Amino acid sequence: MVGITGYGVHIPSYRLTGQAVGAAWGGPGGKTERAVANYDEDAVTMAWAALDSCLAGKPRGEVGGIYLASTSLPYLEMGNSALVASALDLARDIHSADFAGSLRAGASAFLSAVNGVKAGMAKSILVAVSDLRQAEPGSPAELEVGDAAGGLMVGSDNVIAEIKETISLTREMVDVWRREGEIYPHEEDARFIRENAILPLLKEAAEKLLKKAGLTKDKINKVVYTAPDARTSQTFQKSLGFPETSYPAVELYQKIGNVGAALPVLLLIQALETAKPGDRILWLAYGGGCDAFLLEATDKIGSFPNRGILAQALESRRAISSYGKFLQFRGNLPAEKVNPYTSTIILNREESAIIRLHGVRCQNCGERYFPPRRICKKCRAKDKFEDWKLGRRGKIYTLTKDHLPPTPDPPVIMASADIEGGGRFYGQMADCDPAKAEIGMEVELTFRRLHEGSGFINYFWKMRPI
Amino acid sequence: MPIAGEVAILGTGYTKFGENFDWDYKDMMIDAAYQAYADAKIDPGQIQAAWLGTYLPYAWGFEGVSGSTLADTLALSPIPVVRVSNYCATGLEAVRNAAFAVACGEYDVVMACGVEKMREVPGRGSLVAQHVEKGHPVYCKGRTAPGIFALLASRYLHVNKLSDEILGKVAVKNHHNGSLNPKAHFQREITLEQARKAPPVAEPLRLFDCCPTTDGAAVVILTRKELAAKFNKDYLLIKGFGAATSGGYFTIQFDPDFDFLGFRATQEAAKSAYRQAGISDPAKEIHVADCHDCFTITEIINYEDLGFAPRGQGWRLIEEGVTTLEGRLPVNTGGGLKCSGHPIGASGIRMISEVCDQIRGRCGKRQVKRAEVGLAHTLGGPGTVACVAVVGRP
Repeated sequence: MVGITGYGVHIPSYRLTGQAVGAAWGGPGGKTERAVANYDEDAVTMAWAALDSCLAGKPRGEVGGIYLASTSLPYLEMGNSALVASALDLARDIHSADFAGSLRAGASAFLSAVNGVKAGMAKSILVAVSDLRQAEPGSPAELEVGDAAGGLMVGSDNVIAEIKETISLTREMVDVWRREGEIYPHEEDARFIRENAILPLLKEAAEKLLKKAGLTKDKINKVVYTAPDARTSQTFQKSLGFPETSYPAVELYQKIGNVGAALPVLLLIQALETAKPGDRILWLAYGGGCDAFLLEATDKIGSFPNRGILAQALESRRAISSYGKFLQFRGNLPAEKVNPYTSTIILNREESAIIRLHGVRCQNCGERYFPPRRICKKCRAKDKFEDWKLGRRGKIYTLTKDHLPPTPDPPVIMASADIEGGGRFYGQMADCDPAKAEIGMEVELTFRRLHEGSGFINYFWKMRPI
Repeated sequence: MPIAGEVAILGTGYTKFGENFDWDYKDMMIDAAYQAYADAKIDPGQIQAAWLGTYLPYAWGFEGVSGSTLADTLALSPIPVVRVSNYCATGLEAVRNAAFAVACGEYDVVMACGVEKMREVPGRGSLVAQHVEKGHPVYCKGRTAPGIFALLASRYLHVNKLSDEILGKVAVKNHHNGSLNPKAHFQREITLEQARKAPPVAEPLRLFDCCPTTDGAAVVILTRKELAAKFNKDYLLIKGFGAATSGGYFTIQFDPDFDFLGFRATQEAAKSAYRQAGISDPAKEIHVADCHDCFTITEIINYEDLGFAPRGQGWRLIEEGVTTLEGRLPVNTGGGLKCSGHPIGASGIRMISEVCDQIRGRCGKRQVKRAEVGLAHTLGGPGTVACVAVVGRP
């Protein structure tokens, strides 16, 4: 049996509210809000976070592949999935690939993972779908899009939702597009796309998949499909013709916005969160065609440890203090230029520590060190160390809110934290309300962008309040 | 021969500290050197070797990278001159190296000169830029000089259940002392209210908790004890000189053994200096001290590391006025780094100069009553290097 063996999500904690947009541009702004990636997040860090939550408590050694899907990868050239693999501390002998270019990229990556596991290429494959959606400042789309990531694990042990059937349709269509060098997507006539492109294709995919599976619409417990927004999603329901109870709530659109390529996967996870054993889920992912899947929840779904994490992530929110800060986060305002020293040679040499968080433990006296060193400070044994991985959770030992370093979200909170399992970590805090930062605070290390010295992105770990 | 009790200070001198826009690096060096020559009663031609202390050559990149800048500027060539750099302990480190050279008998008269030209660039462009733009690609990014010491301030206030008011009181004291020192960067007093309402820099440190960005130079001339009276009868002796290290630049804040309440480098350097000087109770046997008050919290922690107060009690010396000019153990009588300014390479030598002036009774309005044994202390990097010198009458 091949299917989904785990899932995880990452919803950035910041929300841009209709109120903030209204205050900036005039007008009412509305009641909706959207998730906004922090200034130090991107499609890679969000993908890492979603997969990290997906992998919680699972052995990482069995992962044989990682696929990363996004329309907003930070590197157009360079293996983004390899970077996520390294930050997840996955084995080095695995397959990795980036999927891009379509809002269906996540479903494509998922289909490839299913096929890879079925073909015996890997025991399990991770799929991350992560998008940071941009819209022109002041445009209505600015409040309709959002940033988020979802992660799925595909395998054959402890399956929570089995893949029963799949079909794919491919259609060339200029509906939503973004050319090389462009930041903001363009959209063709909304009604035309809705009624002449998306809806007919969803219907066609559903019918063909049901026919292949030998099922009728009333046998489907949950239908998951992508739409540009909440209202369109609801208007599709009647035309699709499934039982009313099978349609999902549209709260995702209203709470975090249309999160692009990540939307289909988050909608699927939303369905899995409430699925009962035996439930049939029809998943239709639109974009340059349609990938369609029939899944069936197994008896393992009820006891799945991550059940409920999406709802939890949706509630864990704080409003961004101003629209100006939001613009600054996305680099839309000029900022103080800094060029921190860095070197790909150093980063490559120290990858195991910097990206994988490996320290060392003295084989002679047991002392642990992060960052790693070669001569033990306690017993002076030279090069007698074994690999030791720094823990991820800790408690703030001391901290300062520093107003000097240039940052889009001042002040920079620098802290030193005692880490569970030994060692201490020192660095910046992330997603932390300065008013709440205090000694004794529980934190976890999270993978973030640190700076862009030398023109490439230097990633490192920051401490995030739990 | 050891340094302690054998190396004599013939004379000292230092420039006006401040934003010396009209002077370059070399002008300051000349000003301090000729003050010191006069004080030591020697001719430049009698200097046989010199040590130049400059932490970072800011302005031209290569001026001050080597000691040859000093040899050439002061027309001392061909004598050997080498530059030493040891974070903020650079100045005292230059003195320590010069002291070794006369102690071993290789030279009879040597000079240690500390110079730092920090205000050739905007204040933000000097130290802030050093931290933001230089260093390891990822470790300690976001760390600043105030940020390093603010971590101790947070912990110290937390553990000892104190408010940040105690920090402001250090600033008030040192500004008062600086107001009596015509060479200090600032010559004005501040109120506790001003200190507490100043903008935050690295919380809990506010603007008046931080030393300024300053230009300056300082010089000390050394010889051996038996030769000293021949040049200058009013000479002093180095009674003890300790130096120590404790941890790495990028790793100290990752060290679980670091309690962020004291600096082991200072403790070890002081232990060594006191042993040499035969001091067993520094709180009583030291009469006047200049210690490294780069930030107000550092001065309080220094009290404990230097043995002026028991652990966790350093703040009481401020609260009880022990370290004021009129107190039992006056500290930073010339205003300290806080108010005199902190041109890094020059600071340790300016401290030696201030302590010598106190012992020689030349401090005018800020002269303390009893000053036979004085102490100078500098702390460098993220608190990982320190020097402690004890100076006194022969």
